Amino acid sequence: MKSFHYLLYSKLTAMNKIIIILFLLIHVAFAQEFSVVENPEVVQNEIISTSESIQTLRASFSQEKYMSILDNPFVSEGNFFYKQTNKVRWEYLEPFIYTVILRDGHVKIRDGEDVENYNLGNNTIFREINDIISGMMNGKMLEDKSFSTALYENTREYKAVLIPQVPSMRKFIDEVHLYFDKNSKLVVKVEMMEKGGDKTVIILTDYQVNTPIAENVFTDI
Amino acid sequence: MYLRIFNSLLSLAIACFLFAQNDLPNPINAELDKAIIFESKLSFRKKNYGGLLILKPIKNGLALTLSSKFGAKILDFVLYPDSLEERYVLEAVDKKALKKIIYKDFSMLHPILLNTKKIKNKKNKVVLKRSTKKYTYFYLEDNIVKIDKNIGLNTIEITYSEQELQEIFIKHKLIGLELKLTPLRNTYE
Repeated sequence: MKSFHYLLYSKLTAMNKIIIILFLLIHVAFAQEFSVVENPEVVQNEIISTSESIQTLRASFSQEKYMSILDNPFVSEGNFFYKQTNKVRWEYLEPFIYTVILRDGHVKIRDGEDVENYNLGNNTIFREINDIISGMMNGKMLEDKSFSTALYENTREYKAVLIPQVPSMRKFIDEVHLYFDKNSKLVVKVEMMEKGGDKTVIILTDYQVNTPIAENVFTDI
Repeated sequence: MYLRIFNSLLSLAIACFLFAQNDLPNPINAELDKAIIFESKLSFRKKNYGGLLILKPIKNGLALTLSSKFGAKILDFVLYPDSLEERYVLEAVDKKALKKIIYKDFSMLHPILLNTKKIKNKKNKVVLKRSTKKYTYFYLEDNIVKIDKNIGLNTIEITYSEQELQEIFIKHKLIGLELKLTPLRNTYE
């Protein structure tokens, strides 16, 4: 016995099928498109409020590096850990091992067998990385005067477009795009547009919020 | 000046010819217009700096990009036989001496990167005269191609295993600068 779906499908002409497919594609395209948020302060406060409730956070990440020299993006993967206040572990597991711990004004890096320690106060690049990661986690980046901020939304996400206002940062970054999941208000994607057209896309998945993270995650490297 | 440029071009041409004759392996082990991504480790003044170095042979030249492991671009050059095109240089590393070293080192590697043939014998020793005072030595040892610049003061060693590139090691003894490049497997484009 033929199913209802089979009968329905078989009755459709080729033209009808094309129209339905086109309708679905257009619907999906509009759903993905971002429009300006009407009440940005409300959304911003919701994001900051959610961020302030985060004591610990862990996630997996996939980093795609788009460069003019490469035909395809270079992909690296790893784990991310965060604990209040401002303790960060960012570890790459594929295709290389590389771990960075930011904590108490210091940065510790393991690159293969080598371990290096730096004072954040003396290292502009790592201080800015620390500020960006911490700012993303506590939501403060949205009200950081170093960036001009515009908020957009689609059905699933908020998108914050941040444009650096500080000359030192503008030398190498054009824009930073932060994508927040509308339900969880957590950052799910970061896009960094560099001068010259290259960009880095970081996709965060498998979030665990406020689950215990041992202190040695932010000390042992 | 013109004589120096002419000598450099002649050296490169001879190097290409000699390597073609001696059947060295191609470290890239891929199509000539494809990029290879290396994990890089620069050691200088007791500090180590890790990064990613990408090389891609292009028409008449070699594209070279160095970035941090976070992905931030540090250098973006194209090396031609007689010039260096700077597409991007991070201000903190925009030093004339550094750019000169990079240009010289990777110009030496370029002829090898362009070769696609396999090793057939290992007894070769090639001496390439680069100018009136400078010589470049190309040795072929077991699975190692060694390039000695300036009579042993600076060296480039390229190590193979089973015809596959394992490592490129560049050492500048006078200034104590070392650069180790290890190809990241499964990242050939």
